[in-house]
Amino acid sequence: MNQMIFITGADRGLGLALTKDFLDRGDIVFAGQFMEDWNELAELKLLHQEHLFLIPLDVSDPESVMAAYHLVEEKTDKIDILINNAGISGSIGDITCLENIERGMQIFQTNCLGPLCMVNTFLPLMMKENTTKRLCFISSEAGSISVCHREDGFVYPMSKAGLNMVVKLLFADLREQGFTFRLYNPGWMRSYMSGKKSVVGKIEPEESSKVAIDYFTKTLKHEDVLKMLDNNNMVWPF
Amino acid sequence: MKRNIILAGKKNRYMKRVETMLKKEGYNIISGAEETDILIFCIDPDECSKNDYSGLLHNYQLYGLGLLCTINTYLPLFKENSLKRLCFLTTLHSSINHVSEADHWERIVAASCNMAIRILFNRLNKEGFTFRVFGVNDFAKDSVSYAIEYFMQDRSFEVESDLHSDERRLVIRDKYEHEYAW
Repeated sequence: MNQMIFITGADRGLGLALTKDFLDRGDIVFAGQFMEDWNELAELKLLHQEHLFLIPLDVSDPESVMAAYHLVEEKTDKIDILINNAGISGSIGDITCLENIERGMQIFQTNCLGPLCMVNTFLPLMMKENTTKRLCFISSEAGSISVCHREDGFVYPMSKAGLNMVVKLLFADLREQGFTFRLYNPGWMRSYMSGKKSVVGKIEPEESSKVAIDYFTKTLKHEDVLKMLDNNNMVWPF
Repeated sequence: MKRNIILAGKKNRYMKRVETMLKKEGYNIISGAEETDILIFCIDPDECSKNDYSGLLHNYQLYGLGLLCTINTYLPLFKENSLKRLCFLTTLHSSINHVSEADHWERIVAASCNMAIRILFNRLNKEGFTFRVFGVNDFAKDSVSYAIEYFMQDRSFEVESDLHSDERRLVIRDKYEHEYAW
């Protein structure tokens, strides 16, 4: 049966790859579009007129999130799977010479508070009868405090650790209401996180998307356990 | 030997009691213009609901980025012959692993702070800085004497063996010396 999927940050990279993969499955996708001048979603829309809806969205702005909700509400009475993929990167340097600290606020607002705002806002569309009630979050190895190896930068890993706490709190909050959770570390992708396509990284977003979509759509043996899984099906500690 | 201590972060009643007890025990609480041995930073974000995005962001500015700015400011005051100890007070509920109830959403900020401390540890421990992260159960009620003892007590350290050195590990501990997973 066609499912209703919402994907944030669908303009490019992993978000775009997930959009394509869900469309190939026959699902209906609401693609959160942050970069209106980036053409790929618009080109994809030409191929999937009835199954793809572009929704302007800045997850760091609660008003934008609410506007996106209302747009989606006009088109559907439910969302089965919400995938919180939108994210930005950055660094404030070494502890002896911190720089561009304001960037840290933007990163926290987007990567950590953005997904929280999305879940809070879209909950009414996901609480309907016969919805899948699946909440998915793109985290990172950078969010693992236990195996953190970094010595500088700070703000990106802090935002992802904060995101992991968001997910754990939502898990405690919503499990009893039938929601299931997926926390995914996509691996070191050749992504657009820095603003342009990275030439370093181990995998392409499309490869990670194939693993993610399987993880996001299947039923787990233990839905009462929250784990962060990566693209090689390995568990990462918090 | 009288140690110089800088107190930073949340100025709550717990920190006031910390200051009182430290003075009573003969430590010098300094403002930051002198060389220092120890810095104690209190992470106690204001309570936030799950919809209070501006509150969470403000807390992050104060305690997440604020923690880093504080360390950056005072790092030059730790000279080679000083104790070079960085101490953090946080809530036990900052442990992501430890979450069982969906309340106190300001723990999002506390967890981010734990990551900041972890990165600082990776960077500064090999330069001789030792770290303490003490988990408070209740800032309003808990006795401060346990935290102070934990901060001042040296832990195992062998130059020839990192594996044998507790000073080469970073953990959250409570008053009973129980370790908490991140």
